Amino acid sequence: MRLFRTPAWRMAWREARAAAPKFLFVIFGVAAGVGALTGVRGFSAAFHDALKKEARTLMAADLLIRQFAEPTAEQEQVIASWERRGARLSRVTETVSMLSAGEQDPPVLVSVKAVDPSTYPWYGRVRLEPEAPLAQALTAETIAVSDDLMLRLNLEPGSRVRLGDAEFRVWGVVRLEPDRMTGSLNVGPRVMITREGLQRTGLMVFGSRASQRLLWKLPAQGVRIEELRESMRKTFREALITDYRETHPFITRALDRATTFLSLVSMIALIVGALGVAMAIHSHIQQRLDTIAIMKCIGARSAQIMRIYTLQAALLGLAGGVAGLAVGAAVQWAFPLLLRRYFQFESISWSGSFALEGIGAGLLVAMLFTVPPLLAVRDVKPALIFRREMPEAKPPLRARLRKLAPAAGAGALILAGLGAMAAWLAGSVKTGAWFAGGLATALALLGGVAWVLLRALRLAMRHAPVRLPLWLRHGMANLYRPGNHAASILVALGVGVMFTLTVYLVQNSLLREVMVAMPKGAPNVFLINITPRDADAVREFLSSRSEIEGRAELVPTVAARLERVNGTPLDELPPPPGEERRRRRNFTRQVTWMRTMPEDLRIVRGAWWKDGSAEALVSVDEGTAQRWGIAPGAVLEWSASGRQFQARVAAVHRFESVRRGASDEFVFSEKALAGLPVQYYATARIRPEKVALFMRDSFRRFPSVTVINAADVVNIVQEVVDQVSLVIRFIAGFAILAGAIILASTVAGTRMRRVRESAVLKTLGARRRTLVSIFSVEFAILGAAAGFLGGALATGFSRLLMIRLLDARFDPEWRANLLATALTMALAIAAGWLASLRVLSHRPLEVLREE
Amino acid sequence: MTTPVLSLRDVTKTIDTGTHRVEILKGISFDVHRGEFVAVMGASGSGKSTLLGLVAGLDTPTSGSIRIENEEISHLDEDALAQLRGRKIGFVFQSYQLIPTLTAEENVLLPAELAGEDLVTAQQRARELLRKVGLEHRRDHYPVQLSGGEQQRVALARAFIRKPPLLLADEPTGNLDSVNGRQVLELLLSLNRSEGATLMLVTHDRELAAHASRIITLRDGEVLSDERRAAA
Repeated sequence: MRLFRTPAWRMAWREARAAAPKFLFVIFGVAAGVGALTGVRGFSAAFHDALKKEARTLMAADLLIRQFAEPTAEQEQVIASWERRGARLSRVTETVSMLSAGEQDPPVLVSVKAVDPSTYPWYGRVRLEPEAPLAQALTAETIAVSDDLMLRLNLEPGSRVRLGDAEFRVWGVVRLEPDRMTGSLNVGPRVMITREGLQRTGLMVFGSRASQRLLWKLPAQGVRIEELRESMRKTFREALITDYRETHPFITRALDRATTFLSLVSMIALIVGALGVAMAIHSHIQQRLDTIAIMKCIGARSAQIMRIYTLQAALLGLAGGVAGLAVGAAVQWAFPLLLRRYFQFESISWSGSFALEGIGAGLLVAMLFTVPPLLAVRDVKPALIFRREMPEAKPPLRARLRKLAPAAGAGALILAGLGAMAAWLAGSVKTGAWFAGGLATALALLGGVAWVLLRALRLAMRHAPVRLPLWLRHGMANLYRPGNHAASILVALGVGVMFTLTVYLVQNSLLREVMVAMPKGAPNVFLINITPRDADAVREFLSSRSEIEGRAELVPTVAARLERVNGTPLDELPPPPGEERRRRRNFTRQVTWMRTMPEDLRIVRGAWWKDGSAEALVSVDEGTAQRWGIAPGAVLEWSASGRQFQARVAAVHRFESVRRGASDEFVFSEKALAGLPVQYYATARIRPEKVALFMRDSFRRFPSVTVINAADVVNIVQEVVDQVSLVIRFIAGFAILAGAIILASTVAGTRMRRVRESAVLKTLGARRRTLVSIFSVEFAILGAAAGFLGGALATGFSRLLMIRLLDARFDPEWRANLLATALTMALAIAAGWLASLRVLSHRPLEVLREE
Repeated sequence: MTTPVLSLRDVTKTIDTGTHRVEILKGISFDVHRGEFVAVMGASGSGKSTLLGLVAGLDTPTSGSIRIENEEISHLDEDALAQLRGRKIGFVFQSYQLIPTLTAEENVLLPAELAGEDLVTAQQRARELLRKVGLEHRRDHYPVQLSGGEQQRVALARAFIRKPPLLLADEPTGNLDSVNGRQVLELLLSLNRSEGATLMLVTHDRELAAHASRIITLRDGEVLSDERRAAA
């Protein structure tokens, strides 16, 4: 190639090679960013790939149907017709219930999965411990459970437990189930059971809430997947249907969103790394001013010289990109470990498909950020070689402003470039614009505050009332040394701290919100799956319990599907604003009835009915009425459990207080729902320390009633939030890493000067300890300032996020901020010393003789 | 006879470059007494700068003994050497070696500060020295704002701040033009007189050496000649 024979290339290559140790850290900085990016995208690609390749295993079937009701009689007919054609069906039922290991311990909320071991799973396999085929392990009398349940209830194979009305023997541990990710209701520890076993528990009565999955396996020939799917789509109108030719829509959507978000977070790490490239090129050019002046003297044009340094920046970006691939591989490897709970593949292959993208991103960002320092080349005067002078007088304002124009242009170019890259990563121009805007704001803010902080420190140092100790003054003075880039390091490190800490603060705040937001007197215990058979007894039981504060009421619910409004099928009604693009609409609602109007209900239009009214009437929530254009007098047609019924809208209502159930949307008169399968639920307020006792007694009397303790739910929410934020922090941490590396890089860049200075200081009588103190002060101040700054901005951003966006409370956390500051300081000291490891070991003479 | 300020016995220095050993100094012995002005001369590579470095404790000899005011320095560790230098040696470099982040006055003050001297007194002395080298008005300037000659004058003031018994200078005028060089030399001599220090300098400038009371000439790591003369 001609490029490699040009003088520009030769000079760029030789200089870069000579300066390699100095550039090493910068390369690592870029590598951290590229690594995070390729790691995230590579993992996501591998995940997608696995989803596609393993689609059958992940569903344990060729075609999967999921809905929240048992198939109706007509649906069963269609199923039977397909079975006659050779397709085979395996049914899976999932629900939540209570499991107890003895009279003493309170029962535990578990997610029950009932399978048919003779057919389930069609693909993949369930791994048990001790190893055994599922069909051999699971009988109507045995269950297999997850290891956390074993631990929590102190179980071992052979232990006896109660689930619902029946007793079971624990066979062993479920290690892996192929379709865990495509299942639902994974709120508690897993209990796997046979379908006969589930029958024995008595949990499933008509109307019980459970998720039903139908797992189809096609015969070797004779049935086409398209045919089966079309038939199922027509038959199961409210079900989620997927087949092996596509990836699971929910997982895919979640994965795509997570990928976009994490890509942008990685990009911040990359930008921090690129900031390092800019700083390195800047100080590199500063050190080459003589060379540049000489070249200009002998006739080189600015553009020719800029080419040299552009090439060097490109080399740095490229090297960082290539090194980043190794980091990316490590990140990919780390992801499954971070997501252990939710991510259950037997194995995942490393994806290198994003190698080029990563290298390209590293190169592009590095080049973008090199534009401003490159512009400086144009200002180098050839006369420089005769005399290096410090401009003592500032040029007039107009001249300075004129000089700003190219810098502003460069800034705009960088922003546009980053915005374009973000848009490409996110697949959305809007997101790209927001990212660039947000980034510019954050950087400007950080840069401004960093500048002010450094100024203030210097002023404080100059005008300190007492003379500060030598090492302190000297260390602080080092911050203002030319080529030290203190402000840029503050920004780079600060961005990382800000991002990581914001994630942490928001996470904490959200969790506290969940816990604190329950107002006094709000129910904290929920009883669900109460059958009509038990309803009266449960009501009596609840009123007899002294630990319940106030009154616990039983609320009936019926699952019903809204079919028509005034004779028009819902599908044909104009979709509510904002919901145009939803492909599948679910019109099944949990509805309730009431005899008398509750106190906290306000009628907006129409009128409430008299108790005992013989007509089928319904009152509709204000918001729902608006969405579907429902007014009093309208006739709503419903179907429930295969039966059709209708009700006239008597009123439109609004509940004054926040209600705990979901059954506020449609309130019927008692007559309207008579004869339909009913489930009841109840809510109660119980002092936390009494909940365990209540759960135990309730389980003893009503084993099939599921009691949910809000505190447990909070714990589950916390686990999920923890896991999610762990991943985000892991990626955001790369920005901090890149920041620390850049600190190390600039320290390494000033290494020669440090070596010489410490030699002079030694000659003048300074001891090692003094030198160590001087340098440590410098690094410590940088780290502490970055930690403090990042922390302060994180607090600000979190506050903004919580109050403005999430409409929630935010309390600053001083301890977290303090800790962040201390940790950043420690990190900065470590990075600084890592980069100047050998400075102290030089003998003064070697250094001074090199003049 | 009084104790010599500096005493060298069979000092050798060998450098092992990995492929071969280079004997830079092959057994140097001489004494320097209080008030002497010794110029060490010799061609490039004769070992004169190495000798100066060894005397200043910037490096340690391979064998032999170096005593400053009867204190053996060849076995001291780095920190002890640093403290000894602060106490007994003033050093002037060819290329000034001022700390760029400190002002002229702060540079002069630095050795006193490193030794933990009382700063009020030290500051008075620093100003006095700056006045003597004619830079009192530039005391708040940073090194980059000073010319080469001015920087070297600041370095001179710095070398004398702790009243060292022994002053070492390595080509102190080597980087300066003749006018500035002469000015620095004159200052060096007058300071040396007023402060009563013993002076040893390395140079190959004959004019400079002409001011010395004794000229030691090195060749290939050995003392070629050691001549005393009437002080100029």
